Amino acid sequence: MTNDDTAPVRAAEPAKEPPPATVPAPGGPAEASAAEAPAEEAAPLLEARGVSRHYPARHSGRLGRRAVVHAVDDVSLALHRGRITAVVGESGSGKSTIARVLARLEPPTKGELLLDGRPVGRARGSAFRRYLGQVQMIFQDPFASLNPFHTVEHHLARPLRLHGSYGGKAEVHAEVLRLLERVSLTPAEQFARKRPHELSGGQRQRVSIARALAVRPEVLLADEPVSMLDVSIRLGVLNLLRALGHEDGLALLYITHDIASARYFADSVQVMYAGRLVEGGPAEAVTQTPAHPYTQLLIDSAPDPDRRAAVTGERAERLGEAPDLAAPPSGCRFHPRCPLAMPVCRETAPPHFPAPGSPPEDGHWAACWLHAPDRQDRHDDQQPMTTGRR
Amino acid sequence: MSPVASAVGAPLLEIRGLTVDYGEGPGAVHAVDNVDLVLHRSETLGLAGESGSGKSTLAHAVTRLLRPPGTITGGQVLYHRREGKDAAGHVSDGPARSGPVNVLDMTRPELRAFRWEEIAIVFQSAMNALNPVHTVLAQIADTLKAHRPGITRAECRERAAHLLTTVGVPAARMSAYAHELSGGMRQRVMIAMALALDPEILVLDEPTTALDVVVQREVLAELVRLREEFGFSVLFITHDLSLLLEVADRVAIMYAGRVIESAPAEEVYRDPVHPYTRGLVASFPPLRGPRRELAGIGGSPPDLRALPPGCAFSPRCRHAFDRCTRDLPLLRRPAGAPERLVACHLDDPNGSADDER
Ligand SMILES: Nc1ncnc2c1ncn2[C@@H]1O[C@H](COP(=O)(O)OP(=O)(O)OP(=O)(O)O)[C@@H](O)[C@H]1O
Ligand SMILES: Nc1ncnc2c1ncn2[C@@H]1O[C@H](COP(=O)(O)OP(=O)(O)OP(=O)(O)O)[C@@H](O)[C@H]1O
Ligand code: SF4
Ligand SMILES: [Mg+2]
Ligand SMILES: [Mg+2]
Repeated sequence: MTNDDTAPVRAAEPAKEPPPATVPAPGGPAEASAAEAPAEEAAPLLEARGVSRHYPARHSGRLGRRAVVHAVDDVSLALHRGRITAVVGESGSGKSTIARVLARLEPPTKGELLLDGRPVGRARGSAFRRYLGQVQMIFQDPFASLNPFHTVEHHLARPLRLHGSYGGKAEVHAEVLRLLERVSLTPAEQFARKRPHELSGGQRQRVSIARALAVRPEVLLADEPVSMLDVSIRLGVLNLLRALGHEDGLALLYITHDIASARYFADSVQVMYAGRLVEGGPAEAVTQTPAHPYTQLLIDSAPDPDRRAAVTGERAERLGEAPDLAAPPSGCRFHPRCPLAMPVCRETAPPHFPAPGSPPEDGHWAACWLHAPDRQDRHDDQQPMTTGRR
Repeated sequence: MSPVASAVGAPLLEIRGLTVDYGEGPGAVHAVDNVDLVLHRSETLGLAGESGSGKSTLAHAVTRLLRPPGTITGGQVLYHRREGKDAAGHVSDGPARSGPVNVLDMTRPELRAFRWEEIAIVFQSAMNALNPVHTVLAQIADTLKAHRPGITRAECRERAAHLLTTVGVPAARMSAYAHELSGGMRQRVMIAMALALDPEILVLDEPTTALDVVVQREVLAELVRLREEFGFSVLFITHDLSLLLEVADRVAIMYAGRVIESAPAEEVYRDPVHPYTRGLVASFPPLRGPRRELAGIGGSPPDLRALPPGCAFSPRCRHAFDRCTRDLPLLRRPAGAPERLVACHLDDPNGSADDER
């Protein structure tokens, strides 16, 4: 995929498959280190093209129909060397699922993966082993992802021996300590001997991060890697990951609910809702001038000390039921909750349109009919109507 | 939970000098060290602090769910029991019955009744706490049946549906197994279970790490509503200071097993006093406004087996002076700040002459 075919569609023609979204290196304003991202756009290192992942549904057998849960539908995502791609979005919208598919823990129901431009097959042979060495995943739940019987040292030494070029015991041990120090697990000697149950939540998360880094992966799929860290340690770990990106060319997928950290540490931000990507673009653009009504709601809901509103206040109004992924809403999946929904929203899934307010070369897009360039001409008889939100 | 709306009442849970070690002898980890903390009736108390500073250990100790080698080596946890609940689970505002009870002295049967009905906890490991081989409904029903003998299956189902809806999980998902739910859904199921028996105290340990902010806001608004209806108190552990600012009345900050500052939520954020708290606030990336340099806190987390003499933060503190590496700073009320407590030698009028900022 080159830069050109990632340009958002301009025509309002409903594209069956929205073109995959990637974003040119933004090198956001301020922050010198963020601007050091490789300027020249190379091909993505790992790419998901039109990936869907469905699960058999348990709870909608009412009509006797075998329904499926559309956990991920038609998602295209490209991870580049040296770049941090944040994925934010609804709880249950398929973020972990897409990461698991990218990690090849689950096959996609539809679509394909490309590593370094080559399609990734389904075979489980040596190519698969190599893949696991190149692509590492940090799991969302640090309480489930460490083996209770093994020490921290064991967790880190194993991948070092398997994938690394570390020879002797002493060499491996020294590297274990170095990894622990990098994630602020000090004194490292002490932590190396601990078992998972002797660690706090945030300490477990840091062991997971160190373990993933031990392999020196080219792609890191990090599912909420720092959610249990205090802001100061979080800052340290995110700076470390960013340095690995910008210095060693690590491609990082950063799934998070902390939108402010996505703003600061990611190069691009993609927003997920009900199994689909609904907006994407440079981190600063998506977080400061969100174009999709869901993104706007998300950013508006973020706790913000400087824009204080009591939780009980207006911002807490209920949105109504979460979308049922066994029977996802037609058209735009956000339409039942969207305050600006128009009739077309119910009928046709919106393709990616360029977001207003961002220069087109930014690649900031939103899958929302509001941004169809010729919306005025085509739908001037359709007033926005309010649905969903009371 | 909104700081303005709540009328905070008398002490409900008084933690006094609580001390918890993992292991014993010279290798012992002093996870919680002489902590004093009071949770008032209808109050939401936020607990934040460094990763590994003892927040979860404190929560486990207070609910007597500490596992070996964790041992409570000192202190008291006084619970001021209220007059009995009426049939509907509502509580009358009567006076406390015959003085407080020390949770640390409770017998096993007493503890069984105390947990869930009086105090319910959502663990930090909530995502991993559901039984993989039972449906969500079966697990909620188990909790209900254990404490409400005679409850029918239909009633369980109805209650489960209600609880799930309360936390924004579609009731239909009650027939799901844990692995079929996203991380945030599992967390919400655990919150629903904690609410099942209308407890007096809700302890939430990082309950919303996997929730998007829209859902988080909905769930917390629902908790506020319930709190106003039933008048329970909440101990809310989280790293998200900006969230605490919205939901908590007061916030306590922990470092190396001790509470080092506590104040009304707003003050902790606007005007942090302890250098560690100041460092925390300066590490926050703001979502809006111009990008700013994030300061962070230099140095490494402390070794809980061998804390430095004096203030545990002193090796990392830019303001440290000789007294800091000599005397342990105790929580004190700084002049002109009646609602704040700080454990720091800076600006301590009782300090020696070499006090300076
Ligand atoms: N094995 C499964 N069987 C059925 N449904 C599943 C299965 N795994 C996931 N799902 C469903 O797929 C959807 C997406 O789940 P996923 O874990 O990817 O969400 P998420 O975006 O990571 O959410 P969170 O932020 O809460 O972790 C959810 O509705 C979930 O219930
Ligand atoms: N079983 C154990 N044996 C030895 N040390 C332990 C044990 N359990 C916990 N610890 C240590 O006690 C300290 C306090 O742990 P705790 O889980 O209370 O921290 P926390 O404040 O909740 O941290 P986080 O925010 O990361 O969850 C940690 O430094 C941890 O390493
Ligand atoms: S305006 Fe239409 S397309 Fe845009 S988010 Fe709302 S419902 Fe979806
Ligand atoms: Mg997830
Ligand atoms: Mg904890």
